[in-house]
Amino acid sequence: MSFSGHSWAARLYRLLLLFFPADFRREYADEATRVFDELHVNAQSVGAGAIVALWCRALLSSARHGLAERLDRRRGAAFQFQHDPARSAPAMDIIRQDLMFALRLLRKDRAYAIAVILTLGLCLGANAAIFAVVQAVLLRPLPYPEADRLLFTYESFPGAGIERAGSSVPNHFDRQKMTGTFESVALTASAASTSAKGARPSTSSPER
Amino acid sequence: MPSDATPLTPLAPRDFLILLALAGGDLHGYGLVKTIESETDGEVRMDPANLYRALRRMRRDGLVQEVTGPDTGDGPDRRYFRLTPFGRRIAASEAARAGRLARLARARKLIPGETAR
Repeated sequence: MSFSGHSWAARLYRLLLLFFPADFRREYADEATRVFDELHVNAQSVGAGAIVALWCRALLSSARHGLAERLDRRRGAAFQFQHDPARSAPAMDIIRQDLMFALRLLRKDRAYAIAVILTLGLCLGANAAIFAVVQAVLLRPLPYPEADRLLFTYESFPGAGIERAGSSVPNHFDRQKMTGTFESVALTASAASTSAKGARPSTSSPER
Repeated sequence: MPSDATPLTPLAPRDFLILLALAGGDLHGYGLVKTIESETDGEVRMDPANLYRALRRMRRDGLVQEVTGPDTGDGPDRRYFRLTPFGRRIAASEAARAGRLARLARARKLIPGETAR
């Protein structure tokens, strides 16, 4: 008898099992999916964090151990090949045969090849996107000398429900005279203006 | 079935945990995952596919065997696993090895909260 696994979690987990060789899936996919489904129900009762952790573990573990299982097979086959006295080939031939064998395996097990390619593509894309954000927000220095000493200050009136407000010019001069916290203080002002030339108006926001 | 324990020991920590869990009685996959999680205070949470990969290897090595579980009436029959006599000997050998290491660590005062006896 087999576990049909109708929940979406079970169906998705079955996809992860594509990392494993077909004979492993035939033997244990039903049981593994059933256990995962039960763990997923548990995680749902705990909360979102537990569900995310379960899926992360499943993704990493399936990729790692599925690949390891396939490599074990490959090593076993290579061991038999190398220890077959009837066969002897120069090193380059063996590498070429290995490559051809890998390509044949990928062609034969297309579901696995697609799963690997999609996973790699997704992870590389996500990595690149995250790095682009981290680079822009955290790593790339501001275009000013000693940018780590720059601060932006603003006025706040919590009693009036105003968290951030601009500063009046007199307040700015008061701060400049009366506080010694900052080495130097500057005031900026921004204004937007719309100018029209022909049929295309344009808006500019110069910072002064 | 292998008759010599040497090639299989020392066991990988997760294999040892599986044998320890089965030493307490027959278990199915879910039972194994939860027992190991509970016995390691949540430190080891095995993914089911990884668990079955290990079980298949250990079955081939003669450490565990599949048995028919009790009919619980909650769907398809589950596959239970049982420690073989050979598996029990290997687990005992690994436990003795771990015990020797633990005694040595205790003597060197490496175990937090304990002093040398």
